[in-house]
Amino acid sequence: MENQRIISAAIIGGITAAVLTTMPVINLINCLCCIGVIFGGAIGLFYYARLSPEPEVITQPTALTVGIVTGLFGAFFAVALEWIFYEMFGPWQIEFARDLAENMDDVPAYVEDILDELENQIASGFNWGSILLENLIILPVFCLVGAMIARVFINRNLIEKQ
Amino acid sequence: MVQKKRIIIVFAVLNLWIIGFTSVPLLKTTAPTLANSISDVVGRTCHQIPNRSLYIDGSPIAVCARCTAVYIAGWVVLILYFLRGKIRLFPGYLYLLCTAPMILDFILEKMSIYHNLTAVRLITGGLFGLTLFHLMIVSMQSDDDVSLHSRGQAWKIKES
Repeated sequence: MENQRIISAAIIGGITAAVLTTMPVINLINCLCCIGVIFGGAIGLFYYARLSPEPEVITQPTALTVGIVTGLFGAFFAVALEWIFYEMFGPWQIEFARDLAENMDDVPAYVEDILDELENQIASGFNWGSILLENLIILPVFCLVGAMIARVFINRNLIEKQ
Repeated sequence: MVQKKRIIIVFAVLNLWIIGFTSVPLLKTTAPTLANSISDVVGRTCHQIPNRSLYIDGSPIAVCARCTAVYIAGWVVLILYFLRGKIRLFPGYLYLLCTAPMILDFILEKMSIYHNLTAVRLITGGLFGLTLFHLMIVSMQSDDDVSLHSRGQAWKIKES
């Protein structure tokens, strides 16, 4: 494991995960069990394997490290992108959720209350602290899953080539 | 064996997660604060739209039907692993075949081409869960990667 390789791979994977998590419309892909974040973790490990001067078997600790570091980088990138989109479009997620709720047949009263509460919170400013905290938990976990899955395919390809 | 211990930890965490999100409707009357806290934590990974969720005792559970199916499928894969002791990698196209229905279902629904049913979400989510957890367990079960080889190759490696 080389730290520089891990960091380069984590930056690429982290940017992928962050874009797929925050980009309006594209982030709907995460309705499929955070598949976008999982994909980011997988990209991180694929890039790590690609940076290797010669083909090597990826061990579990390597996949684990790359996955977690990718998630950590991704969390910070995601907050930065979230802030950019907030400045550009305002609280678009709340508007989207409100539109979605209006198109539904049975919307419990508490959904409206939650949306109002969220709108009030957002009106008080960009809450980067809670977004970062949430991302720092979720992204490393799902990026780790992605890296562990990518490890299977990287090693299998290596074995098949041999 | 370190690998087995890691998988046991994953199994324990998954059990806690499943118990957590299924207990929310039951806790709503007895311990509403705890139910809300669990719902908040679980809600970080799922949209929790009530009419897309399964119901227990008249209340929606804390994750949608698709996520429920993913976690239950994961539980099934882990039980199969503990019963069999080892899980072998399948050909790549099988994983694609299991994942494609969920993506297709999602895209068609988002494009308003059709309105999916809870049963469809359960099936497609379950297939994806089988894929996800199967690959994870294959990755976690050994560091020697014998499980990634075909049967004949694995035997040769063991012999050498």
